[in-house]
Amino acid sequence: MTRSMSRWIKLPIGLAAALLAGWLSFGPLGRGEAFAARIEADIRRMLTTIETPGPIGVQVERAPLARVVTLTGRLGQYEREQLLIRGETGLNGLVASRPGVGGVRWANEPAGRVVPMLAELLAMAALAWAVGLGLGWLLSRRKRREGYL
Amino acid sequence: MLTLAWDNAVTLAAALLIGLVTARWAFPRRAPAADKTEDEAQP
Repeated sequence: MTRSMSRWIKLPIGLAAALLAGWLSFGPLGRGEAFAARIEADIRRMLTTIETPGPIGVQVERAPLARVVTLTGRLGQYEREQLLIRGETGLNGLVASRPGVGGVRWANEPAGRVVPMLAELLAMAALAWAVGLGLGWLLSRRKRREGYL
Repeated sequence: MLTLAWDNAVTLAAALLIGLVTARWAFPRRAPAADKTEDEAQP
């Protein structure tokens, strides 16, 4: 039987391939962990350039891997949220302004809702796939019309 | 979010390419009536 596959089967297969590419890059190839390590290193470097009452610990959320930074240290609420440091409101604002950071919390604060980095990447991969699909569809339509001229 | 996207630009480009290939696969160019493909010849 040589009946061709329906496009409603082909489309999910294509989407699954795009999501698989995203997951492979993020997990097995280690780009997710490398991204988290880069954020931590960047914030630690930035913290060495400002005065703090004591050492500040920096940890990017690992379970699940997310763009949320957990800080530890002896810093009052004022220094955390209100003191103006380099134009940002508090250390929280300063850390949140670093590239790649999605949220900041302190270790002694209750954990809020966390969006896993993998979910963000897969959503972006799905969007990129949809853009590619749309472009491909438009190109195929244009060529088809040219064929009948 | 933008930093994450930039960091994964190659992956996102691959996903876009997969989308293009999927479109070509799922929406093939219709052949002229004279040389219809086997699929199109079916009722």
